[in-house]
Amino acid sequence: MSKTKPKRISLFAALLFAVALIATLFAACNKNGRAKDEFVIGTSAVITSADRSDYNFDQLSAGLTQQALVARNTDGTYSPLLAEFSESEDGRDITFTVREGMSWDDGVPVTAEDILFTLNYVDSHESGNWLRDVTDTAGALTPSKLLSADVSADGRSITFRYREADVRALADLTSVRVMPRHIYEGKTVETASAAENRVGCGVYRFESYSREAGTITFLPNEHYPAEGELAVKRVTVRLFSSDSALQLAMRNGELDTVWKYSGGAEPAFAEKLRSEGKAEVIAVATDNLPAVLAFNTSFSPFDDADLRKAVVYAIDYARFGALFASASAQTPHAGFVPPTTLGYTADTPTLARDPDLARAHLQAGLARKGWSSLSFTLSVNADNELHVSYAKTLKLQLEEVGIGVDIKAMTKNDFQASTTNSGGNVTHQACIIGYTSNGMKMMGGLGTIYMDGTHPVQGVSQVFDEDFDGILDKLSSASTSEEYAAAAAECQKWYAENFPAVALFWDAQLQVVSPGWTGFVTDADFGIVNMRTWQTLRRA
Amino acid sequence: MSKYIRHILIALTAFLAIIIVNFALPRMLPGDPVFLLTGFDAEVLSRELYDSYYTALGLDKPLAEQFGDYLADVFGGGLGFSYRHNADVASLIADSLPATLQIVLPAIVISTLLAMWTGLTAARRPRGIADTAMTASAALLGAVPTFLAGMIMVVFFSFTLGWLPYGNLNSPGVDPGTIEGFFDRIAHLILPIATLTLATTPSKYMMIRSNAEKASEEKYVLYARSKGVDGNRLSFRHIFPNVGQPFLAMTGLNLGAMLGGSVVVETIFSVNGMGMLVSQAVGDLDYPTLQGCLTVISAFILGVTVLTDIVLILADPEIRRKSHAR
Amino acid sequence: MRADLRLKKQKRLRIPGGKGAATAALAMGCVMLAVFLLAACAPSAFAPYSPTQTFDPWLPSSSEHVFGTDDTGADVFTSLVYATGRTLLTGVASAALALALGVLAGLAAGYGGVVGAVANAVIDIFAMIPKLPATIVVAAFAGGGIAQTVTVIAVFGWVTTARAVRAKVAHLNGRPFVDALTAAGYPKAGIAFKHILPNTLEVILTRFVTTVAGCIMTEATLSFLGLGDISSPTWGTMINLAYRRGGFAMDAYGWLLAPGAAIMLLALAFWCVWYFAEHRSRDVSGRSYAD
Repeated sequence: MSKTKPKRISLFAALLFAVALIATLFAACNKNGRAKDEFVIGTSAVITSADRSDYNFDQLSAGLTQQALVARNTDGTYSPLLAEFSESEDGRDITFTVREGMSWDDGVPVTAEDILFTLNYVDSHESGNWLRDVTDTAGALTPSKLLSADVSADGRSITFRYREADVRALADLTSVRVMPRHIYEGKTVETASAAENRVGCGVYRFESYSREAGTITFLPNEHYPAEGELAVKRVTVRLFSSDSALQLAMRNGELDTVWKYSGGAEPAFAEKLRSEGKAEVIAVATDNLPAVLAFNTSFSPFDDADLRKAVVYAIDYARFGALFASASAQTPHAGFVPPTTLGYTADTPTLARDPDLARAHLQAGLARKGWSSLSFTLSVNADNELHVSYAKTLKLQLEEVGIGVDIKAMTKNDFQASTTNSGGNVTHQACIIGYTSNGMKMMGGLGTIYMDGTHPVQGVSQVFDEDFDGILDKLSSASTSEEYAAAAAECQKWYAENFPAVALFWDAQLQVVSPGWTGFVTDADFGIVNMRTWQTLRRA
Repeated sequence: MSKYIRHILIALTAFLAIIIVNFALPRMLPGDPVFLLTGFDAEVLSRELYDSYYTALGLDKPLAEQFGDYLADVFGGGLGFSYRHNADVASLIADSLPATLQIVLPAIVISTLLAMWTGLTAARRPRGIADTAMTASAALLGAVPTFLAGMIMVVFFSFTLGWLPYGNLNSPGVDPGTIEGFFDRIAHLILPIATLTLATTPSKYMMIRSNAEKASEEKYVLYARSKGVDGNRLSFRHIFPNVGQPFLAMTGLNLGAMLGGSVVVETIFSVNGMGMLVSQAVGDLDYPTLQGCLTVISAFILGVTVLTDIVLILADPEIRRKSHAR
Repeated sequence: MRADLRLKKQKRLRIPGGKGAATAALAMGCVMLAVFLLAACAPSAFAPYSPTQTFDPWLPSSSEHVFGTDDTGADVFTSLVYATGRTLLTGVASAALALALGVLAGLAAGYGGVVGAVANAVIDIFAMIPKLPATIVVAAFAGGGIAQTVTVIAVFGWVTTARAVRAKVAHLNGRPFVDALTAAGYPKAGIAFKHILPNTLEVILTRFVTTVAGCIMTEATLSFLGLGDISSPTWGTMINLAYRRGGFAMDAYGWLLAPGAAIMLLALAFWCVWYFAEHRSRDVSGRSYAD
């Protein structure tokens, strides 16, 4: 009897288990499709509070719920976003007029007061220098960018008066997203509530955030003066905890696009998606440099120009392009900055592998140093596996001409500490690093903040050179585009002769989109998720 | 009785040790404590911000005072603030714990049952066919690292066969509150639970098996056998209670191993649980979150250990006998 | 008295499989270990290509590339072979350190008096600490170098050794020869190191074998989570890279699974040796190597 009782129980249990299993497998097979008018964005960015106080959400919202004054096009021109703009004759004044109908999603209209409020807020809470002078940690004074910002009588326009005509004034403004004065008067982003931190004036407005489901949803902002009907009635952002899962989802057809701040999909993956018909690839020309080898020109061994050149000519740029870049990649020039950069000149020589030339420079440098061979430490951010792969590839190439490389993978903090001024002493000999579009544009542009040893935050290449300082002055004081172009050309020539850093390849950013949609507009700063795309997007 | 009390005291001390270590680590190891405690990069912090954090974190106070504040914080329920996530570590953990429990609890139950059943069955006839086969499989499976097991599961069941989803807790667009959502959730949980079970069962099996064998040498088994009791009845009604005791005493540690294993499992299956929180915190070097998770896990283990010890105290026939005798 | 009885019973345990199975296991295990050791010492003999040779990236498994190529175009099998040395070194070094710590603690625990009580308490406390989470947290603070990794793994891996040694020492302490030596006036420390220690060697060696396997697993898990040292790769680092460089999305199953399988084979090899040793010593402690 004791044997039959357990038998019956176990039989029943097994049956129940089988039923449950079948039911769940059935449920698993029923993969849900998406609504026809829903657009799903996938991202692996860590977003925790889905409001303005969350850095990543803030960046994402630039394409959905928040607007800057202007947007940059891939051809270098600017288009109005929140406001129309006009420059004065001498170029020192720019007047922005808030476009007709622009309104916060709680119904309050956007006015020029919001713009003024934003400038003041950035100044007081984010170390901005729009209307006030700033003293940095080294004691250096940075004067305010603007002399004044006057709101017009009807409250719809504001005039920025610059100290001098600034050729790149508009470039600076593409990332300043206007904040609602009626919400933040007397508050900060940290003290405001989450709901308040979600108010925006973009094409869409925030709807919901579910941490468990890992989704953030957006609905059209009824107050936005859209031209015609929006094809997308709901935007869902799905949060992934790893790039792996994100890529799998895209490949599975669960996503319409992948969003990454200042980045795109990896070329090998994009190509795989494209060849499988799972996605279309949009190449966005950008002026960031994702793969840079930077030398510390103040430290041995790369204080010696010949040794730097030895490395430069030993690099197999074609191989880097083949391994890590897309079909739209280009071999970099000695002038360092990519073609989309303002002031780019194609006059500097194209970089190419030349082992004999490399060895010649190596001998010259070794002779001067009194060494018999060269071996150096290559620093890389251990967190960035792609950079680690760059480092490994570089090491193999340099060893072929007899240069020894010791790869030092450091934690993020340590890496930043040893490669940038803000971290303390710049102690790397050479490092693999990526330069963002914003960084390349800062101060005088052309990535000078990454070269200039006196820059308080960057200064990766530790250049302390009189000629270079002269070029920096010319860049920042240029008041017409011709002056700027001349200074920029000089800068690139200097790069080509001195090689404080080299780009390993030039490439466009690849955005992968589902073949089910068409009508994407590319924004030079924000990729394809931007205000203008929403208005032209249609089902394919 | 004193054995259990000692066990509880040890667990408490272990927990305290972890709390102290959590305090000491950022201040002892190389690296700036402000960076280590906020998790921010040097680049992000201007001098003013750095100073404000320095004061906010209390680093300007004498060490003893810092420790006092820290203890008050921890026992008040505060686990630190994650600047990277811009939220209290406690709330982050509270949000992510349910997901972890949905994987860990079923895994504990299934692996325990499985280990019990196979261990007792194997011990019934030592060195027999069943025993050798099961022990050999346990050895083989025990050698498989957790992440490999998880990856193989995903590759085989999700990519090749397409039967089960490759990650997350729900399919997109499925509402977890509905019946459909319920089954969908189970479908998503199958692979993670299976992986975790696979990772933790072999060692439990070994332990139960050897304890059962040890027990079957005892005289009471001999008596039972001579009375004609054998097979299942012998295993489950006679041996099991004696084997169960040391096994139960190990529950705290088993739980610890489970929570450790769930870090890997959640990473591979993209489940937003505490293990994933730890994994991400490692990637971001978000030290406050890491420390908070360690504290919570230790507290968990402490709690479970104390609980099981109490249960064992209550169930221990010796103690009961003693109290009755009085 | 009770304690003695229980320990005596330990001795009568048998583990499954007869002498034949044990010998077969030993043979298999030794062969595997020998292969791995050879691969570590003379990788060029095993690897089909040189580590500096590169090919097209992301190639699937084929006759030319058994496990395909990785994202930099290196042959995965070659990388696997060349990473053997580092993997074994890290495992053995951390196991050795753990061993030293464990033996010291175990011996001290059998000492008696304050030292013994403290050692006992320390062992029990460390046994309570959740091993993997603690290892992860401390490793994250300590950084990625090999010295740090070895130390962190050892710091949380010495407990099982200590317990086994402690049990054996307790057993030995009950033996008459110890009483005789103490009565003859030999100092306690001398007895511990000169007489008790040699008798525990068997236990120590069996524990060492399983500890190495455990340390390799821990190192692999740490590397998988990104805490390892990327510049000198171990198998665990390879898996981490494979996973994070998009191995799943690019169908790079060879790159993803081969290192894990290698770890598994290595752990199995150690288990075989352990099995043989256990069979011989008939001293099953009831804990698996994978603790």
